[in-house]
Amino acid sequence: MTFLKYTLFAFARDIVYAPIWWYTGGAVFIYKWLVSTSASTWHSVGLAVWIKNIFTPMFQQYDWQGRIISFFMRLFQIIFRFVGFTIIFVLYLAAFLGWFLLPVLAIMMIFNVMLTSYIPTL
Amino acid sequence: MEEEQTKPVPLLICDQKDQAHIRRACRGSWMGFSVHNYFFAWQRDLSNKAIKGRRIQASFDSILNFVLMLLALLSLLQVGVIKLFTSFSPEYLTYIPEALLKTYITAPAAILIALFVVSRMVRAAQKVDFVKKEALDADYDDAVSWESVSKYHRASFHNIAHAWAPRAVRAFEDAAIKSHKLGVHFSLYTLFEHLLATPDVKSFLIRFELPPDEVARSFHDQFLAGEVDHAETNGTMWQTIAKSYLDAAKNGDPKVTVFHLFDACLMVDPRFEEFFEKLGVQPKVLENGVQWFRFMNHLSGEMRSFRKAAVGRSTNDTGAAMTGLATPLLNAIGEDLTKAAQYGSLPVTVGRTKEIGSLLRAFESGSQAALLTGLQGVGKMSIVEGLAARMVSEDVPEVLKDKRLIRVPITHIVSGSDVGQYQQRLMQVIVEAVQSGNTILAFEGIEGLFGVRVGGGVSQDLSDTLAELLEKTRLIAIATTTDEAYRTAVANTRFGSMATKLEVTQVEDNDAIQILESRVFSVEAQHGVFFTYKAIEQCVTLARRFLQDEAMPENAIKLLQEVAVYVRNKRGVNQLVRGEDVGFVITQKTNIPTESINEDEKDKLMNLESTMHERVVGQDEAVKAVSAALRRARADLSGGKKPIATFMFLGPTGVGKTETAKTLADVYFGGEDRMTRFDMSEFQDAQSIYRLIGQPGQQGTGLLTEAIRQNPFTLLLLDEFEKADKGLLNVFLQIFDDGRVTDSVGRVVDFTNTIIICTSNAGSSYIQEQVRAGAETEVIKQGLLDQELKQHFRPELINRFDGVIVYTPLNEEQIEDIAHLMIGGIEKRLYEQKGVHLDVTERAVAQLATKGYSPEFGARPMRRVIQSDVEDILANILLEGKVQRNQTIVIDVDGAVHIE
Repeated sequence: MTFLKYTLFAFARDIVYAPIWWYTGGAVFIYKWLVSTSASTWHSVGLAVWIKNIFTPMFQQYDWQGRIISFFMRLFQIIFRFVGFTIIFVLYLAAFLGWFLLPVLAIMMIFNVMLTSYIPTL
Repeated sequence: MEEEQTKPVPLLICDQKDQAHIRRACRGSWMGFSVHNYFFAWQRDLSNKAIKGRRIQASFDSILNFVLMLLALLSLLQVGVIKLFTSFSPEYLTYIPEALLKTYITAPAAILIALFVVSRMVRAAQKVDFVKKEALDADYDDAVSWESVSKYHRASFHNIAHAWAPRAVRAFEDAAIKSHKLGVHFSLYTLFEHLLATPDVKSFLIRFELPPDEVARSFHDQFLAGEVDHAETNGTMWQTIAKSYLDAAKNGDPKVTVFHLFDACLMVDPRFEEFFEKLGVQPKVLENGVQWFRFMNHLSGEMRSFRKAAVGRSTNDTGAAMTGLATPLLNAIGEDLTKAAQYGSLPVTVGRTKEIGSLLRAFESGSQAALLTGLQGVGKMSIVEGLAARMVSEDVPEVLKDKRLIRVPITHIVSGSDVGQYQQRLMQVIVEAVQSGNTILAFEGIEGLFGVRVGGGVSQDLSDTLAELLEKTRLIAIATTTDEAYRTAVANTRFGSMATKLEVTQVEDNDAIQILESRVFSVEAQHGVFFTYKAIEQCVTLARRFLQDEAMPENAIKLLQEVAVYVRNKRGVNQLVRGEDVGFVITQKTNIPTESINEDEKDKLMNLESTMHERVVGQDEAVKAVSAALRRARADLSGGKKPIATFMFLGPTGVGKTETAKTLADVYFGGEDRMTRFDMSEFQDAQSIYRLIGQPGQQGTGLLTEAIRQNPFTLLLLDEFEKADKGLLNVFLQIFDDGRVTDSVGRVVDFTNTIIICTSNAGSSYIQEQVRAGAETEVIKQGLLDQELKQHFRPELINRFDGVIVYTPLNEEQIEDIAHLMIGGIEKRLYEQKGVHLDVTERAVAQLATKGYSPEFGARPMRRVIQSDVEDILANILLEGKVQRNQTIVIDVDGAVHIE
């Protein structure tokens, strides 16, 4: 009995509980994940530092040529890094949305299949 | 153990017995403690059924997860492959078996299964928790009840059990199951007994050279053999759980491990500590040992959290936004410590938080340069490395944030033949550092810059160049130098006055042991041997005693490495390094006999009288007094702050004073030659103090200080002590008292490993008179102390001696014994060198003794008589070649000789 309690019964309970958790505790989890991963990606891309230093010349080149080249170089870097970050962020966002939509879509598809396979026999 | 640790934690224990009630009444917690609105609860059922159930569930779950995930992935793969074939090349579908074409699980169903497994895995992972530092933040809240706790927010509930490492859970639950099976109550005793059998604790015991099985057996005999009142110990079990968690929190460990449990048991029940004490492991040592194993877990654990903090830090030389300039010269001659720390290749800095703290404060308060001074090997660079680690985890003031710390050895700047080049190189380094805008320099051995003049003569010193550049550029720099160099070169220079000076002192023995413990793993891994605790302790003790050229802990670390190599070469890999091995290495390095290091001092002291009497004839009272005084001096817990012993030997010439000293040197230090002898009649004027401790400012000129520095483990014999200048005696007053003296260049010379013997002929005639008058030795001694000695020595000096020993003149019988000893010596030498035996008849010895007896000069004339009457005869015979190997020369009365 103990064996069944901790194996099959627990499993059965889990099947019922999992969907509820997915949209409650799971939702909180995936939200926190989105925020923390995005934040650390933002930090490692260093966009904020680049924007802050946009008028600071690179490699200590304080002459006017250096300043001009640095400005454009930084502008390019900022755009490049921004695009990079956006792509990664969109992927994260897709995962986040997928968390909510994927189960629904899967269930809908199953119903769909059941429906379509049901109709011809009518 | 500290008092704070042994104080019990105020626990709230649930009075319900079964799980359903506990869930309702106590929010599922068996017990818990509250700290400032956090509640740390134990929410794990420890009944047999629950433990077994959890184990079954854990294995079932992992198998199920694996199977379901595999199923889902294979189904998706199958569906995908079939789809590909149908849309691109349907003709190949005929080659695929029918069974594989059938869809068993549709794609949406597979996705649902996969998501289900993901949800299970995420929920399992969410249960894993780490030890929360908040548990230490405030005082315990001892006024809480289950009603008040039930109002706490859910997020402030922490389940202690979730922060346990799997091995600790396993050990704990195994102990519970074992006691249930044996039908005994699960108590602290059964837990500890089981802990002793875990691989973790076993390896701990092996390090203490304790056989694990025997320890477990004797523990069982002591605590579990009789009827034990287990019920009384129930509360202590909860205490142990709480303490183990707090122990982990206190040490910054992320998980509760078997060692925290072990440590907690020791804290909760003092009898466990006593148990180890009986096995010969002192509480202090036990604590160090636990600390050692904590390092083992910690090093990996700490690295993990450290890396986490360092993850966002840019490793780019020019900074995250590339505002800095590349620094080719600095990269070539310096070492980027922050980068090394980030990659985890720097050794851990143990302790030294105080020093790093004052370094940070110096920079925060606007100081531009800091100067670390301390003995060679005291760990100045280790403090700088500790700073680098702090910089990487961004735990530093604003001025040091996002900076690189680069170590620049001065030797790399002042290398080559052209002095002009040095200046150029120095300027280039500084210019690079300034231009990079994110560099802090750490100059190692700054004294190398002082006294280097460009162009010679009155031109500028390189150190002034550095000071000027630093002032002009506002660059932050750290420099290290030795105490001696600071006094002789750095102090009162421009750089010396601009830098904040921080003195780095030698670490205490206990800290040194912990430093070694933190480094021992890499040494072990490198050489494939394992250190016992005793070996580490010996490394520290012996390095402090015998390797004084360098400071603690550097000398001990080097010794540790040498011992590892020695053991690997001698016994191969996977061997234990024991305390004795350290002694052997010391012998090889210093020629101090191993026995005198490893042998227990106790045995030496107990048999001192008999060993001394083998060489010193008569003088029963003197020998007894010396032995007793030495024993007294060693039993006195002066904590190594005084010489081993100091004696004053009084008596006429030739009665055995020097012989006693030689014997002591042999017994105690392992050889007659381990004696440093000074004739104090050579130090009669006031100027002679400079010969003794050195000319001011000149290194290595003090005869006494250099002798002891090079040979700290020695017997110091000061002959004719009364003849020395009175001012000199004051120096000795300090040596006798503190066991140390500072030489003329400011180095402290350690006398704590010496036996100091001062001999004096003062009052010889008094002694002879009194002996003739038949006075007792005790009376003679008192008379000397009261009258004769006062003329030569101040009372405070006499009081400093561990013993004033009076030697009485020898009588004829004793002289005969001495004659025997001397002839015995000649016999031995003759046989060893020439292979010839010598036999001096009894009558001849008696005649020699009568001839050589002199009440005034003791045994001195005896030596002359033996020279003329024995050695001369032997010399003639040997030169004339009258004797063959293995023949015997017999000497009889009146110099009659024949050969047998």
